Amino acid sequence: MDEKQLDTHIDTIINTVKDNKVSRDEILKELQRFLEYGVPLDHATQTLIKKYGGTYTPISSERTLLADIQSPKSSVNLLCRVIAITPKTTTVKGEEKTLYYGMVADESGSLSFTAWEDFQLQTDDVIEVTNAYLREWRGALKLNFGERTKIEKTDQKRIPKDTITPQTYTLNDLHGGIGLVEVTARIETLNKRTIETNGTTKTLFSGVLSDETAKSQFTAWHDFKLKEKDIIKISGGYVRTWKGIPQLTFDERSTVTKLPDTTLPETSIPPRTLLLYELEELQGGFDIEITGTVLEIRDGSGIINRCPQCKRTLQDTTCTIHGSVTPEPDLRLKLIIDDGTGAISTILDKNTTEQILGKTFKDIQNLEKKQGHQAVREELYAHLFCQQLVLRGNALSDDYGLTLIVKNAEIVPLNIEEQHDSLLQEMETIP
Amino acid sequence: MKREPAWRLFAAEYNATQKEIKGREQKTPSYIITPLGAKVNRVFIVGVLTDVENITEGKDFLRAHVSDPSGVYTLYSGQYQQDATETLATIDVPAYVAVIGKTRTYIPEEGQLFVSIRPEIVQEVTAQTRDRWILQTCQHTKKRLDAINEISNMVTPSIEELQKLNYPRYLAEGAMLAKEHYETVDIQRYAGIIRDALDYVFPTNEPHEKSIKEIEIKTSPKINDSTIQTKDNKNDAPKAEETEEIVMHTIKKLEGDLGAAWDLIVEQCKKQGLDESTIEESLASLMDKGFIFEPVLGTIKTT
Repeated sequence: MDEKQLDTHIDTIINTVKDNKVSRDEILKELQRFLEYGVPLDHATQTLIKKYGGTYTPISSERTLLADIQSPKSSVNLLCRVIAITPKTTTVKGEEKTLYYGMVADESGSLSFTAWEDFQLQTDDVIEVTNAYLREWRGALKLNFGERTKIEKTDQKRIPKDTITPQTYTLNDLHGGIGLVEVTARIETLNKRTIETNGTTKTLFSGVLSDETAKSQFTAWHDFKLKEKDIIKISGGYVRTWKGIPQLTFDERSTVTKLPDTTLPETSIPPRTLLLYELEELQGGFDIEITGTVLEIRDGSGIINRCPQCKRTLQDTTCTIHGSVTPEPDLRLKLIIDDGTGAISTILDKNTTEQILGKTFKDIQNLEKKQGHQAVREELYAHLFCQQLVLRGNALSDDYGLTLIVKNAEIVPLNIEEQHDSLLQEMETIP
Repeated sequence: MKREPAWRLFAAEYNATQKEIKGREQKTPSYIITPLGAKVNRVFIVGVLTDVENITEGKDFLRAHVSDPSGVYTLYSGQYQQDATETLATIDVPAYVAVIGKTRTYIPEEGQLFVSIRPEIVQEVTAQTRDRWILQTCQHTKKRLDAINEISNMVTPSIEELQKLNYPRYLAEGAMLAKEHYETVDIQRYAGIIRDALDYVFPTNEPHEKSIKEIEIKTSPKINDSTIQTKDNKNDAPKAEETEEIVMHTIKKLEGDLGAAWDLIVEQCKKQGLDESTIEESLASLMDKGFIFEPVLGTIKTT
């Protein structure tokens, strides 16, 4: 008998009969005696729980196929293959904790999971999972491996790699940590660049994909001879997140097929509109639109100086990298936007700043020269503080929190009467 | 690091708060739970700055009041809020101001909790900004009120049940916390506050059947326990009590939906034989006791 397996059952017994202070050794002795007599382990466990005064809630040892899981369940047993796994450190109740996000698959399908402990899992492990549970997360079922879950690695041949087939996703459903994805999409933009990894040069193809539901960034680590406007089916991709933005990634293990141009209608996809608490939950996103109030104009807004070489902002005329330089003036805004449900930092570049202020870079530069920095600050406050803005861009998350890199910004005009009337109507629902 | 959102809520809801959740460790934030389930660490308010006074000698430690259509917020700003303190000290009152600030609590004895605001940013704004804020605050308050209303109709209310009705998790959590800490929430009272605020921004001619005043009068004895005691203490200051009653009565007669003009109150009270300084004294005293407030400068309303 595998000692680890016995341990698992001893844990179960101890956990179930918590009140009874029975020693581990004693249980082990008793358990082994039953086994010597040829009693099946499950039955022996059950008998001992009864003996020590616990009530045994039988955990079905029956295996569930991933495709059969349709609703949240408190306990399932699985036999599956780890397709992808990424650690992620988050703060749970004030403590740093490493969680593992990934995806498992079996002959029937695949599901993404969160492991709340380190089960030492690696990609391509075939595992027997006992007592996993399912929760609904953003309308999708998510498998959880928690404290009570037991995982054992088993023979890889029990689920051969070729029995696992990719699952179809739309772009709006892609989120970090999932693997074995099949997507049909149009290539909106395509860039080629080379990078150095471990002394070898690799060519990367990246850009933006679109389908009828959303736009998404992608990276291909292999030359699939992609062309802009092509409609392609990518099979066997996986999703990585970069600063909170999910990116579809595919390489030589994936297959890419070109489809006829009529496969997808040509529509322009609007940005994804989110409330700020939703964006905080997602931790980032591509082509997002938010609406909120300017509650703070941060230092570093207005006229700033940059290093002409690396574009870093400078305090004086010295760049920490390039030494003494002739600074290049620039214009930008750093605004705190708050919609009452959440808050986000935003950065507006020169063009967007000019657009929203209705003033040119030169205008602001002149104001700064003539009346100083404080005058610019007052001008910005007078123009923007407490204004309602609609902002569109990409949202990134890093150590400093969530930041929207704004591509387009507009001031929302005030329409008191209309808002007032619709609110008055809403009030009818309260008796 | 997540930035705490700035809640939009009216003074009446803010000031009715009786529950605080203290951050256990140094870096975890503290929150207050309002009767409508707002879990607040930061607020964004826009109203009329009515008065600023220095409450310590020498050093700048200011107390200021900002009024909205439902009541009055109290601000305390000191040397650690240098920008806000400077701004407060230089603004000529009355003025429309926007304040972004953190919640503060004061617990004089167990079972009593007073809330105030420690401002981070104070900035003068336009009447338009104030109107926009009122509308937005109505909208946010209504959303919370709806959640509280749903809970009261549920057999076994829970965060999950509320989420099934499309309430975001943060609102559902707050509503359940409010349910835990406040026995009953007077839904009509808060609906009245919203309706009055809407009316304030854009007056409609139809009178509301259930206006805040009728309801407030019913509930006010509960709110103002301490004032009732003073009232019973007639021997101490019988004269002041009488004039206050006359002034109060006059205000109620004059106020309508939008409150009564200060000048008109004075004029009417004079006709009843009171002199101007006595009337002013009574108004100040009634305001201190919380029976009346000044939604906009020069206008008085009963609470």
